[in-house]
Amino acid sequence: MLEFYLAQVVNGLIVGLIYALMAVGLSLIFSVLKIVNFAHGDCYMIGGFFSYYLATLLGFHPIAAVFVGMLGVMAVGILIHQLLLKPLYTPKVERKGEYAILMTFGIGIFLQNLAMALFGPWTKRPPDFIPGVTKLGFLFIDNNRLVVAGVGIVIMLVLLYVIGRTFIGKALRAVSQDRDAAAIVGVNPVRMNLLAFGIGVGLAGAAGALIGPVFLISPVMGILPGVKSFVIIVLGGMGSIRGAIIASILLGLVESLGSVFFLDPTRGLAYKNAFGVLLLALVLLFKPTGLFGEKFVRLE
Amino acid sequence: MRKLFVVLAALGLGFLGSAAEYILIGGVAPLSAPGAAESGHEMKLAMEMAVAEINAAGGVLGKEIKLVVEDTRGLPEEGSAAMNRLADMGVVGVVGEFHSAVAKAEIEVAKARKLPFIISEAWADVLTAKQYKYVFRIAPANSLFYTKVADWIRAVGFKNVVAIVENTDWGLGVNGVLERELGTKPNIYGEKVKYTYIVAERTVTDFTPQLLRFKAMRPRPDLIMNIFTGTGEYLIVKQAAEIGLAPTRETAMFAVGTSALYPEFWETVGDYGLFVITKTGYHPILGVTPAIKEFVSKFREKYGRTPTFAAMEAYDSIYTLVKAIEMAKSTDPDDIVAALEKVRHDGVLGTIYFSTEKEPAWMYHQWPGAKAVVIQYTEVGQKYTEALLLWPAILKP
Amino acid sequence: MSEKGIRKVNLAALMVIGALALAVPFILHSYWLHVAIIGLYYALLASSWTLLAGYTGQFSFATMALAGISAYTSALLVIKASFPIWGGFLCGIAAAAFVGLLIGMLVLRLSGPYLALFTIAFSEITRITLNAEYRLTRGDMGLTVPYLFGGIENKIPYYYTILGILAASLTLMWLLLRSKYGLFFRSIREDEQAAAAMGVNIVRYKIMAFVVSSAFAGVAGGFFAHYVGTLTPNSIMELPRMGLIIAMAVIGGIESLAGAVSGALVVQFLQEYLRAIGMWRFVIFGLALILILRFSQNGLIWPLYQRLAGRRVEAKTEPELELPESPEPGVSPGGGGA
Repeated sequence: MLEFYLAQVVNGLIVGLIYALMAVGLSLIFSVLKIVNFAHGDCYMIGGFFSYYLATLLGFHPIAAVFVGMLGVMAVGILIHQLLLKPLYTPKVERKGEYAILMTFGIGIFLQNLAMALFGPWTKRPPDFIPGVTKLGFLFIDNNRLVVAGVGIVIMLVLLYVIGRTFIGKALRAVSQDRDAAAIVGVNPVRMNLLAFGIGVGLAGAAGALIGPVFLISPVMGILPGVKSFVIIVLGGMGSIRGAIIASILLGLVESLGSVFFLDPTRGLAYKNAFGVLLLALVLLFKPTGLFGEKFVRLE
Repeated sequence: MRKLFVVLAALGLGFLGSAAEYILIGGVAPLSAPGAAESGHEMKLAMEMAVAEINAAGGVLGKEIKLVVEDTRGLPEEGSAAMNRLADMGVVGVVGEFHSAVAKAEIEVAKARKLPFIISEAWADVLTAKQYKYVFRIAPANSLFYTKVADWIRAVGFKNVVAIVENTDWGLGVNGVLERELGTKPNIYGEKVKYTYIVAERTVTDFTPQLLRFKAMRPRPDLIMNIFTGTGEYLIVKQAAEIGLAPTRETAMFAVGTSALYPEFWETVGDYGLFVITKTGYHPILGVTPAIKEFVSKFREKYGRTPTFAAMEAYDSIYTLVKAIEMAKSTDPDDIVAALEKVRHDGVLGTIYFSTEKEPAWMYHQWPGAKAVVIQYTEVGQKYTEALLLWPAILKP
Repeated sequence: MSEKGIRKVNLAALMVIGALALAVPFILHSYWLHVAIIGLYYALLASSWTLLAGYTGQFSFATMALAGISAYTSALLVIKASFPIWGGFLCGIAAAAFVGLLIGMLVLRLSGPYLALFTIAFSEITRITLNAEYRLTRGDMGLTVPYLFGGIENKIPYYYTILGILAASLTLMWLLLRSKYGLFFRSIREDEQAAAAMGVNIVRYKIMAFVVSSAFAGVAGGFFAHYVGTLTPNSIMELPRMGLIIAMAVIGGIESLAGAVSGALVVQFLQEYLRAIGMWRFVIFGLALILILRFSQNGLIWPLYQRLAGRRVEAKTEPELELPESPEPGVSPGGGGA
């Protein structure tokens, strides 16, 4: 039985790492721009398609395709920011909160339908990173999942380093804490917003690209992971990157174990996607600052 | 105002044909998400092929046939809208559909608007069990087909069967038949078959937790029924192999959904598809009639892929409807229904005819001739027509 | 231009639209009549959403879920407890309003994106639960629901029913928004804290907005259940469908009920009219949504009408006061695009 629990925990950890990549991007965007990117799941989806076509049509190595795909999504993010989100910082837009919700939601609808029209509804499978299975004693782990976990960890460590140790990171943090003060000391907040949005959706794109060989890609692949990353940033405390990572792994574990220990085992899997959203609803109601007690950020 | 509308409607529908020159036949199939668009497109191709052939041979009642295939997107209200659209265009009959929930909405329109409707590939018992006058079905009813699959499970002597079931009309219908059949009859060794199942949303992508649970069960399950279609079906095959659960010496993997017959199966699951068991309503060993040979080679030549059961059903549906029109010498719906009750068409799948028995309820207007064939892939990338035949045993060479 | 003149034009336009709407069954054949019925259903949903989002500033994504709750409540009561259809329908509305009340009470502390996140979560839970409890709801297998008028051979009664329901609902909403409550709703959207400081009972009116909006969503859901006859959770409350409703309201004009209604009708008819281009029509709607948000935050159709109507009044010297071409091309198929 111990083997069984261990296998479940390992599976939950790997799934959690995938969630973390996405959710960290969403959290970064929220902490700097103070908006929730409702198109996050769709950025994840286009990441998947970019790397799929890079690998199958242009012959990129699957792992190289992930990184190039991530850059592609970043470029899309920069475009979105410059064309559609920049008005947020001008007095021209009334009710900035409403504008941000509707705009990002609209972008999501657009991207999803565009993908459906361009690529068709079919499920596609990108090539394996490394085919086969690794056996660790009684544990069987798909090599693709190991690559996902490895690359995910690397990307996250780089991100944490950039944010924690570099000048850019300091500037980002400064803007997230106090825009005006940051501007006074010479940090251009709009440029930091652009940077945060680009990196944020780029991370979602990387997650989508990495997940391709494991869960396959399709135009609607982003809906559920999108909702899950909302769950995670609320659980982890909106805008907290550390919180997002912990909450992601927690959610991965809850889903993995929860659907197995559900009261009625025949329906555990049917309710699997509800666990996260139920947690979200409860946390929002009882502890809106998130499980780890970061500062509650309110939108203007 | 009215004139303007008619022009607009004609432009919008891209169709302006007068009833005098053509006989208009409607098709319904899921051609976009969230429907099973892969199967829908295949059915559409087969219908178009049948119509082109019939027209080349002189049409019916001296007129050319025009086919209009509408997209139902796998949603009931879209299906009922599509049927109404077709009725407004003046079709004399409709064939097609893949999703039972959609077909359920469509048969109501068929009834209301007196449209002869041959269901090609929706399996829920209820569709014919309602015994509507205008509704016929070539696809096997779930009960008709899966009773035979259950016979195979018992004949092999499986004892611990587990199932992962998609929560759709089709998935739960299959599950219901298996639960009933395996729960009430012993296997070949006289042992009781233990059947347990898990129901899941079609959007689930990680089945690993449940599969790990199956792996930890003692005694370990000897057969996994993968009652999913499309992406979910592929993912279950893939993830069960990744954790070393199935197909193995202890546990077999039965991919029940039609998607296991498509070339995409191999593109998606790769080596993990080896030794997967699946089912079909058609296999060359059932006897390769000239009609089948011709159909398969024509379809391959035209579209570059091996047609599955769904394509054959759609193809036969068109031919059967046309033959009934020919017999009726009229396009009046009641005459067509009367002809359909008497028609015998030597089609690709066999001699198509419709039962008029009312017991069991689903037998009404049902083609009872569907065969259930259980096959197993013995080579990576194998075509299903070349897979190993497991059942019915009597047909083994 | 004078206030009075505009009112006159509005009244005239309303009468023309009313007459057209009543004449629709004589103009449209059964399929397009179906399109019109679904269009009116969407119009009710879009205006219910606008009441909450456009007027009160509460960006909820739960409208479709509430419609679904009402639809299933009514359907199940009629099927399992043999309620008469009108009884089920009323209970459905009550259920939606009650759930709306709960949501309203629960989300008092949440604002902006938090409310949006909570309601997305709520919608998903509702959809997943209705799917998972298939023994009761039949999930994706489809629940067969008795028709309002026995069958669907004749769609005309359904058309007049939903038209009447929509007209009555819009009148009620309009009266409510014209009253002092409407003012309170708007003050919540403009500046919650200032409104509270001025003595507006924020708690009460926020909850009230949720209840009223949910009840109207419930009306739409109940009608839908007994019109289409087959319910599946996905066909009512998928997130993309909620997106469609929001797109309709935004394209029409989020700050007015007329905007939401015209947006719904225009989008619904274009969606049918452009069927030949397949999925691309949704791409166009998505793009329209983004562009309208970016360049004309108050929507397209309603502001356009207002300008047109204003101009007509100004140009009053013309011998005959020509009415603006129907601002809702949806209602009249001959009206062409906006």
